[in-house]
Amino acid sequence: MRLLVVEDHPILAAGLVTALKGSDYAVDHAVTGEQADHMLAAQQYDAVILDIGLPKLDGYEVLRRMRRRGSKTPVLMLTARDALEDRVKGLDLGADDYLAKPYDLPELEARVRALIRRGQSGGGAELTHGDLALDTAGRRATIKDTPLDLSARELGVLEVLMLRAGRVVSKEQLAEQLYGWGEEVGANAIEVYVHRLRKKLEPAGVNVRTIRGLGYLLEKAAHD
Amino acid sequence: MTRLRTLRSRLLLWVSGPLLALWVISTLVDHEVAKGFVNLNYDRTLLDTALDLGRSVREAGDRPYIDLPPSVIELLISGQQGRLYYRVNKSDGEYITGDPDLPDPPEDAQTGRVTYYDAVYLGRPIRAVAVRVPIRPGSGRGAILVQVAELSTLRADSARQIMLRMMLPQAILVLIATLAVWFGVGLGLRALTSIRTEIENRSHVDLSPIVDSGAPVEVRPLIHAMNDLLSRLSAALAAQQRFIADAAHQLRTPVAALKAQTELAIRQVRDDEAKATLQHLQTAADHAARVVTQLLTMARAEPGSHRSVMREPVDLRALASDVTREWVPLALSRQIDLGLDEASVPVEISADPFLIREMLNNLIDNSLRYTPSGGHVTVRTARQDDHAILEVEDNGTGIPADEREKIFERFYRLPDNGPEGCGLGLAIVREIAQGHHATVAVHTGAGGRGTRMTITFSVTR
Repeated sequence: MRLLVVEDHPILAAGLVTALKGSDYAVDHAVTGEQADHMLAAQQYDAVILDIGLPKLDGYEVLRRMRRRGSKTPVLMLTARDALEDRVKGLDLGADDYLAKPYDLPELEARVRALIRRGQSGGGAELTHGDLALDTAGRRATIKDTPLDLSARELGVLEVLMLRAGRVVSKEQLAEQLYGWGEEVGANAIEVYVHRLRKKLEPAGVNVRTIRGLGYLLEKAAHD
Repeated sequence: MTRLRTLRSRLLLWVSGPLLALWVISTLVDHEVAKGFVNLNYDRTLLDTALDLGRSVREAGDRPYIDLPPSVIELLISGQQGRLYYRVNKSDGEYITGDPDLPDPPEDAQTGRVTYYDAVYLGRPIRAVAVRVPIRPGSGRGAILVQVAELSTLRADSARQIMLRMMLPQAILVLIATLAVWFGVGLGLRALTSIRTEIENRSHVDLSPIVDSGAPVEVRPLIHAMNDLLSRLSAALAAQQRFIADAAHQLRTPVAALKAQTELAIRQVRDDEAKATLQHLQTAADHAARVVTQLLTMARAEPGSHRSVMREPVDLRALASDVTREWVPLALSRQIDLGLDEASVPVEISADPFLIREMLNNLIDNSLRYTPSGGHVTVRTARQDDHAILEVEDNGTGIPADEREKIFERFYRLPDNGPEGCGLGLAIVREIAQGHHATVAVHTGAGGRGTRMTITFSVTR
């Protein structure tokens, strides 16, 4: 895994690079927009952590040029500016996620992990959550290499939950995902799939928690 | 006079005072004019009577007499308003007939043909005329003096009658003018009332100019002066908020660096004592980060900020669901059950979605801080008549009744301190609510425990 950190504040950048290297990523660091632009054009990265407030060539421009080149590398935007407006602008330009300064390091690390997972899910990568593994290409889930007997819809629900592990996924989001795979499902049906999925995951100690009025959350595995 | 603070009473005083004075003067003038007319008429009657008497004087031998029967004389002197007095003398003063004691005309008037004069007779004021007439024209036997008089009081009465009859219509005129001023001022001031209503209905974040169309020309300079003040105030506020926003903004990156490095240090250090110190440093850095974020939000929520005028349709439930979802991981880490009330209904308000999010963030954050593990925090939206309600309820430590007003003050913290907060959260909540014409109420939670914060928006606005 190769990451690029684009941040002009030297101490903050050093912190990010050290933390991410500690998670066994290969990390490059760019200080200016131009430098980042050159590095992104020359090298394929698995994810980019991009600060908006860069001197001269700002983060938006780096992102715009990157997407114009056809790069699909996931981008996490960092900004010190007005949250909503920046988020809208950044997401319009093709950023995948967003964090406002000052953020917590563990939060940033979790977002980067999620970005990389999402970047891979389309390409048929394997998602893991503790002992639970999901092969998105082969549509197969295993616990400690023992196959789980899941229907296609239960697999769909599990994939969305795993992609957003530790965060709340609403019934609407689940329904939307299943609909995207050509299935029309209502809120009641979602409840049924989640109920069945939960029962099948229970023996492995993986808990799908119901969050009152909001949706479901795949609880963090102990050693994730 | 200091009590006459209203325009209406001042105008009334200024208009009705002179009108009353005019009325008095005009009454006095009327009286004089009436007296003149009355005198003229009554004098003429006196003169006619005197001439009638004079023409009837005949001479029998040396002795003149009035050649009229007593009944005719009686008729002549009966007058309009009461009996007349008369006396006929020879030119040399010898008495012929009539009231013998009638006073003589003034000395200097003896030579004139007709003389009017005032005198006193039987103790009462009289008006008299004296006429010299020849006895039988052509006889050449000298002249006689005929005097006719009546009580002056008769004339004064008449003049007074006339005056009184003129006073009444004039008094009515004064009254009508006063009423016209009273109502006219009211109508004139109605334009001011509409301006007052416009200013009263404004939120304190609205510093836009007052519209002067429809205001009387006289009032426009006042409106322009107020608008000028508003625009200066708005510029000053904007400058202040820009400064706070810039300062907070500039602090964000270094604070982020501080947090990241502290977190790394905690991971790297093996020594427990050093780790504890670093964890204190981390708490302080988190606190600083929070204050910086809150200051930025505060500056954005305050009047004068360009953002505070942004309005778009916002579904409260969808927003509440989004915001609450983001807080769930933190709540779970503290073993607090955070959720959205299943009975929440979608309800649309016109608002700045960014600020409403910040408001709810602060409410949830606040509830989570004051709720122990095992507690519940519930967000809900509801619709009541023309109001949209956003509520956050917890079963935590609660807020004593006498603290409920103070918690909305900036940098105020509950006396028993409790978990680390920066004291700006609820001030931001109130600021944002006010900017949206919404009210904030603090209640005790269900079952007499914890706190229920209710934001009530008006839907029809």
